[in-house]
Amino acid sequence: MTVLQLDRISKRFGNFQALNQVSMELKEGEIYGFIGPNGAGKSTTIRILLGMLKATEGRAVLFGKDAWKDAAEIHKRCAYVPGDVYVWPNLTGGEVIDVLLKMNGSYSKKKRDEWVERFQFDPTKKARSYSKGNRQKIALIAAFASEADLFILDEPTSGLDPLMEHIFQQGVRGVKEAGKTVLLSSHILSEVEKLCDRVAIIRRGEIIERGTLDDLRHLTRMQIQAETREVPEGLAKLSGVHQLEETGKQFSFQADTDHMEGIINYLNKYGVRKIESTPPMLEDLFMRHYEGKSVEENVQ
Amino acid sequence: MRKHIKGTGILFPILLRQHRLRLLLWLAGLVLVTCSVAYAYPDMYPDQASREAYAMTMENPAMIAMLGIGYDHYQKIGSMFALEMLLFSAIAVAIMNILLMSKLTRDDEENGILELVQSRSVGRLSYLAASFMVMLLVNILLIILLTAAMTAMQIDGFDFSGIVLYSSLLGCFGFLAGTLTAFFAHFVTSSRGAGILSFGALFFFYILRAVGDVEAAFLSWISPLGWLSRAYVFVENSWTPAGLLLVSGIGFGIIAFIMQAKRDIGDGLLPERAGSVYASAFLKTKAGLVIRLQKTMILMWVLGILLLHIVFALILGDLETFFLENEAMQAFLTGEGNVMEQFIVLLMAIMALFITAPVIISFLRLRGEEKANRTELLFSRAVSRMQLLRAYLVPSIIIAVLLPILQALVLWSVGAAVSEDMMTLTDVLGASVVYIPAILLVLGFTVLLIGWIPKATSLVWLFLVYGFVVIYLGDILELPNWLRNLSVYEHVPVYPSEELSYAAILILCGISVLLVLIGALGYKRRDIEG
Repeated sequence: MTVLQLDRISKRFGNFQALNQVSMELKEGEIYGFIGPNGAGKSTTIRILLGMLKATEGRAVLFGKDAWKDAAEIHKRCAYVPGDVYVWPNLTGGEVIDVLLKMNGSYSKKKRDEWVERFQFDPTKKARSYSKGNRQKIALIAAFASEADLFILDEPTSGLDPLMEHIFQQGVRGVKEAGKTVLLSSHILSEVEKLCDRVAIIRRGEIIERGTLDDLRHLTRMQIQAETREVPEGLAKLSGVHQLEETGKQFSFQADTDHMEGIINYLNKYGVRKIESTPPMLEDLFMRHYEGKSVEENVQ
Repeated sequence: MRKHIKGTGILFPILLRQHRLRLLLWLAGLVLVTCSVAYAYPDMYPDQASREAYAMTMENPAMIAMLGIGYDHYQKIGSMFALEMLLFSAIAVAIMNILLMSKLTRDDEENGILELVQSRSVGRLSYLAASFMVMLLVNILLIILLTAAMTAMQIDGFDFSGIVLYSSLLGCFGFLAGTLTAFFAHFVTSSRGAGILSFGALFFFYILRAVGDVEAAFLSWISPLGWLSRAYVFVENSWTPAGLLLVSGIGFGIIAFIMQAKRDIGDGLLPERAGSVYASAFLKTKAGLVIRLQKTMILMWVLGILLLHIVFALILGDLETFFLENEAMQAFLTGEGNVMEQFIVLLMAIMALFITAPVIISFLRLRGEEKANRTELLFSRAVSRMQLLRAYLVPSIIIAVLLPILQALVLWSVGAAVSEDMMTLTDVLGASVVYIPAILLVLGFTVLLIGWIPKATSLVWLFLVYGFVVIYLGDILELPNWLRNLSVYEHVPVYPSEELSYAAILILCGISVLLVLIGALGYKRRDIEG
């Protein structure tokens, strides 16, 4: 079942085209990664989803309802964590969590206290004295403790330490196990790699790539480090081999995943002593799109 | 010492640039208003008869409490001008300095600007030193501009030494207000807190002076606002009060610097208590949240306004005694449109402006929250635009409706206790509540601006400033009727001396409702920034 659908959304601020024909579809129970650098349009997209900005063109539908017209109705089933959490400075952290939970109706106090405990959060301080990470915890606790069906997380871990990031990842997995849907916007690729089923990459307001992680990996290259008994002459000319660096019998290069078979067979002829391969990181994929043309040319 | 103020020279122009536009507007406004009033004065009181009439209106306890003591038997034009203008101009200058310094000290610390600056090769006291230099420059500019402008106009009765003293008193009072704010900024952890303490002190000075001028002169000598009229400017030209202001300003300034050197960044001297773990049931409602966030602000305004009424009501007793002792003037007290009634009607007109301030501040928070990216949290929950707008209208409307009733009750009950000739409760209440529709109308404009031109919401303050100019200076400046009618407050029937025009009240209410509806429509349709 489709939980969230963006249909050719465009947004203009004056002369600035912030989003151009962005489409996206989230199915129930999946974790969808939304990747892009700062200023690419991730937060604008999310604000349109939340009904805070009105799309210039296109339609955003959540749970079968219009994101702009039925915002409050839709949000009963949503939980949102912004990247920068701003809270009322003169309320305590605990009060803010309660207020946010209550705005969506009733909530379980037990669950709320559990999450306060898990994030090791001190709810008695005035919000103005919390650090960025602690303010993020407020929004995360209010999200995980709610009965939402869709979690919209906009760079939710940028202020968390690694331990807390781990708790966060457990939370997201728990949500998925409960059959709920997650939209995770991020530029921390390891996080996306660990959690997401499918990803979409946005650049300058346009979606430039989308699919499952496996789909996207086909587009990338393995990093190979190897040592052979004899020097493999002509390796550089072999198709699918890029950026070869050699020091005698030790060398490293990048290999296109679809040419892997040929390359291994070729190397075997020279007596492989040692071979290490690193799987393609989303990082590489990301860089390929972001470094613009120079990398594209390298690939060809 | 040198190392503590390293970098001040670099910071000063940056800070100055940050605030120059606002400060220029303040200075221009202050000079313009002062000069236009000064220009009008000689024509208003050309002969002995008109001066005696002026003396008669001014020389009673109520007016003394409001404006301060008169001197020189109201003979010199300059002294009459100073009586009417000096106190309130000083308060305006103080407001400018308080806003400036709470921004430059606590606000910049709260926003992390100070931390960023302090991480560079900059002395511990440099930021404060640069802030002081900006504040000092503004007050010196005020003295120079005011002196130059008033001297250039060559008005009869305004001699040069008087003009210099008058301007210097304002500048020195501004300096004291600025240093006092820097001093208070050390006690709290937010700029809002620093503002509340400083404005609270200013208010306390005013009350102290009002009671002191009427009852016990020594109280006025405790209040810096009381020192102003003791300069007998344009008559004796005593520089002692200016010196006192300057010395106490320097005193507070030195303490502020010492505290800055000793205090941790981000720390306040008043202790912060651990708060509650859970939100109360009240806080969990939308209107409850809005009211809770504004609790302190609303409480301060309500207490301040009620306290003013208690002071003025107590003075009503003196007013009675004053007129009983002057048999010739007894007619004023008991006749049609007597002095007490005139005084209460004027008081209510001014108070309507004061009450509008918290009404607007309260509603403008909706925009403030948006700019601080905090409405985002609510709108991402099951909260609709209309629900939040309504939640913000609740406290505004409560203040606009209840405070006029409350102030009338306080004024009447205290007044009735000290004076036998107190107006009836109905009349006092009527004089106060007739202004409710006008206050609501200004609120309506605020909603309209937030809905359609959110960037220009501060324009709504013009209603207040203009309303004040018309009430306070309308007669002096001889404003034509059409100009007066631009002020919303002028459309309110003057009760009880005029008949209650229900039509006028209904029209004002109707327009308010319409403005709120149109504003709400805009708020529903527009993009939310954060």
